[in-house]
Amino acid sequence: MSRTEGCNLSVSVTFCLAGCILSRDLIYGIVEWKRKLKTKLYIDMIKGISPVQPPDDFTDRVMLKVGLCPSRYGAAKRIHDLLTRPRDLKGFRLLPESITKGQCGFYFILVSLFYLAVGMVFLRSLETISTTGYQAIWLLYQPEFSFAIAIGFAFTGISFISGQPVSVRSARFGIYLYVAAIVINSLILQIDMKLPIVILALLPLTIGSVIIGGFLAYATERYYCNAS
Amino acid sequence: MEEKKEIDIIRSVLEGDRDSYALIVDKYKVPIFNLAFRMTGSCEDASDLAQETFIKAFENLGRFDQKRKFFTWLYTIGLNIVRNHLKREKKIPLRDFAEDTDFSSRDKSLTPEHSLMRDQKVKRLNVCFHSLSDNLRELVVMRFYQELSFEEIAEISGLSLSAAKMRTYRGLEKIRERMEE
Repeated sequence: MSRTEGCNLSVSVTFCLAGCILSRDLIYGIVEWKRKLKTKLYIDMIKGISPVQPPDDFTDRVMLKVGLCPSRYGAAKRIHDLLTRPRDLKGFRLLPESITKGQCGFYFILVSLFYLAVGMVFLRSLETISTTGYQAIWLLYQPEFSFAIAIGFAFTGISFISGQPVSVRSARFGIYLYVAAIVINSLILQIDMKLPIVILALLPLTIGSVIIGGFLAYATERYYCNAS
Repeated sequence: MEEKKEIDIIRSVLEGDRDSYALIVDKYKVPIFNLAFRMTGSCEDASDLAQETFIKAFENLGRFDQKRKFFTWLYTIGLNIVRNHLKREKKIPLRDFAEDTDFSSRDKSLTPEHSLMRDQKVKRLNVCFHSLSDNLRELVVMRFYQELSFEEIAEISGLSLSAAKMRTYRGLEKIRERMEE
């Protein structure tokens, strides 16, 4: 085979290959175009279906039932609505946009484990304090207080993970209760221990606990927004 | 009803003027009823579920964040009620869906033959639509039956914008595949 023939052959092969690729792309393009056309046809078909009209007396029936609803906009209802209203947290990005009930439950379990550890530390430390005859009674209840929080959060976390329908409501209530209990507990401790310096230890602990409460509330809201 | 006026109505309902709520019901009864109807395939169920949606919305009106769009909030309530209903009533015979639909077309220019052919196709489309999973079906309803924007769909369903788009088109793709089987 001469050099020119070899050159011609390679050019022909190149053209053949290019032709194959082009025709494959062309066939693929036609198939894709037909698929899109059919999809568009179904979209138009769906859009062409007239909306079904509700019964003529629909509004009257609703209003009749609305009339039977108890008047719920008293002070108690307003406070309840204020506390349980979902918050717009779009600007705050500590957690992902949407979190699952498993993730939310996991946060509660983590906090529960933290308070379990705190309770154990208190239990161990107070063994020595109680033998010295220290008079601050409220301090001696701190292990029980921590264990109660740990149990409460563990239940809430488990109810989230197992998908109980009351979990969002109970979580919110639990978080409000937790924050209130932490603040009251710190105040009683401060009063009971009668040492001004105690506030230096109590203040960061209280603030830290309130931040934990805020984080859990935030996680619950994220989950709630996602679930609803 | 403009958005500002709508907020005024909600405020007056919250202040005790229950009768104003009828304006809200009148405005949104068609989309809410149609959501329930497309998801359940039954007019009776749709009527009950739509009524339940408006009652629940009324009871929780104090919790409505007035910075949000009322329609998406109401629609979210409706969707949750429909989802719970579908969970309870899992077994609905497929054959009902072909018969239980209003096929009257918006296009009045079709000849009787074309109209008949189209109705048969729509019947088949309806059966294919009801064979989708509940999750995909609700997205197809929102996007193509009710022509909501993807932003609204994402807000109502709690999905990200890209997930809402992807799942909606997945639902549509499944309908296309089943129509061609």
